[in-house]
Amino acid sequence: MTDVRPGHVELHGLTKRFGDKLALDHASFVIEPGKVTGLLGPNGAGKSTLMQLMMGLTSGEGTARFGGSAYADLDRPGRTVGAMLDPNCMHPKRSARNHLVMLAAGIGVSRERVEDVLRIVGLQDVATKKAGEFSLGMRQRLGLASALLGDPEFLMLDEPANGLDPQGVAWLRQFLRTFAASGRSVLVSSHLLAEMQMLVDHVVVIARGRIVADEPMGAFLTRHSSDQVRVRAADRTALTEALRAAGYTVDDEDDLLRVTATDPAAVGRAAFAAGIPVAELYREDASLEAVFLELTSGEDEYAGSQVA
Amino acid sequence: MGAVLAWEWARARSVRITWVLLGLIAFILVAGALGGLISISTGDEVFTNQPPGEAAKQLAAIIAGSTPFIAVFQAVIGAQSLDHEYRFGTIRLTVAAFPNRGRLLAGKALAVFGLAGGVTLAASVVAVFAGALADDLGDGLSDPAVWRTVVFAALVGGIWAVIGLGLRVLLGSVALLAVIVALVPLILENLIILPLLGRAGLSDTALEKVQPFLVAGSSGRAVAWDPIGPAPVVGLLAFAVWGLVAFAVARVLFARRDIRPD
Repeated sequence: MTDVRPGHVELHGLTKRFGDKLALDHASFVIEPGKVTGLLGPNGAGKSTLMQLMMGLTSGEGTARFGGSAYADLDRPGRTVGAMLDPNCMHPKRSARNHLVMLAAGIGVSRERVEDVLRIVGLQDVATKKAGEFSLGMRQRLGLASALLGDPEFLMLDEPANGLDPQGVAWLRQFLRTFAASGRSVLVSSHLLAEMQMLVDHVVVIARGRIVADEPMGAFLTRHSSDQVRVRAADRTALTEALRAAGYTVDDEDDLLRVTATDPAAVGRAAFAAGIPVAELYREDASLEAVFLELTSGEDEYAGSQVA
Repeated sequence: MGAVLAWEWARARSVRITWVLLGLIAFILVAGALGGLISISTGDEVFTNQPPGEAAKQLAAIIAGSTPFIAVFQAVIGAQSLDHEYRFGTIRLTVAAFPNRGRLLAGKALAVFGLAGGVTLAASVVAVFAGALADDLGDGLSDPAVWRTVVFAALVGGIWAVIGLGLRVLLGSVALLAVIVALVPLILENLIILPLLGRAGLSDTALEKVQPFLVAGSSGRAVAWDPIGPAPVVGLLAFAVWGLVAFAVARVLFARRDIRPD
């Protein structure tokens, strides 16, 4: 049964071919309201193609339903879907305000809303400046303003943090979290993995056009987390021997020992039983970057070769 | 359709090239008429030897004579409607806002038709009323043929803009389009199409009958003053068919292609 909740987006079997090359291979997933969904993938994985296909900008197979409706069937799509696919989509001689006024005319929103979104993204003081004079970060903000113009239920942003300064990235993170918390949904692609780890609730990983992971961020990291505990003691040799005697596999790395174990407390107890004071003990969490690289290893179409 | 027109108007008026092109069309039309007025006031026999009222017709003929020169600018106004969008990537925003591409292109066609036709009409009216400043033009203003020329020149201008829009979809280049529009009467029709038809066995009389129905031939016939050949309204209808053909081809291509900025 079709889910018609505002902000609910369902993709089914999205497929795109460029000649013989399969750019997107039956991509299917659901974007839930109230959540920020992250779309991760190496260059050329099909992230942008997927977003363009969702909006009918490129032809292909499969369906994308926004609150139960295909994009083409939406009455005033800008009021349902706000998208920023490329921050450079603006006439360089047109002022930021005029750019938004043009979009507002199509979306059917008032001039007041133009001023509102300029304020939201912090461009109100440079609204009369030509877009061609904007930095990449300012163009990103203008692109976000364009996406927000129709006060949409679903935001779709392709690499929105590119070019933003650290304050801008923090602002964007806070903004998107607040947007999603209001019951609307967000799909955001990025290669800034650390940023994604802090931002998204749900992660979809795409590699060579195929969806290779689709799950909540917490579960994703847990599922891929390593069975490694790091421990440090003044007497490393004694600690190594004690842990090996307790049945653990131990690698001596730099200042810290790497112990193959899932429970840091058990490692701590083994050290305590041997009478060895421990200075530091923690479980090594999987970083999104490590998991991402593991999942997409060999999938990066444009990977450089190793420098000898 | 109203939203597309509002979008198009907001788009067109916020870039300088629109005003430059509209200004050039108005300048050529009004400057042509002023040149005619100067000829009248300096006793140019072309004008002063005419019976009273004929000079108004001469000014309308000047407007008619200007149409091939302004056709390039009118076509470029149509082409710019898409060219800027592809060049600067805003085409994605436009198609995202109006996913029904057929309706979007129809809105764009209507907008450029209105822009190019509107400025041609306004400048032609100004030119004719400027002509009324001359003493012996008064009676000519009541001649329906004068106003028919003014209105048909505007309609022809609007159709050239639609053809320009269609050619931009087809060719992907404004420069190539401008060259083609400029060369249609001289090269394509007179030096290529008609000679080919002649070689195919068409007699000179038949060729004379065909010529007013070709692209440039029909646009010229729509504003023609000489009684030889089809009536102006026939020329206008034939030219409108060319405009519809250009739009229909563009519509099919625009609907099929992926939206990718240049």
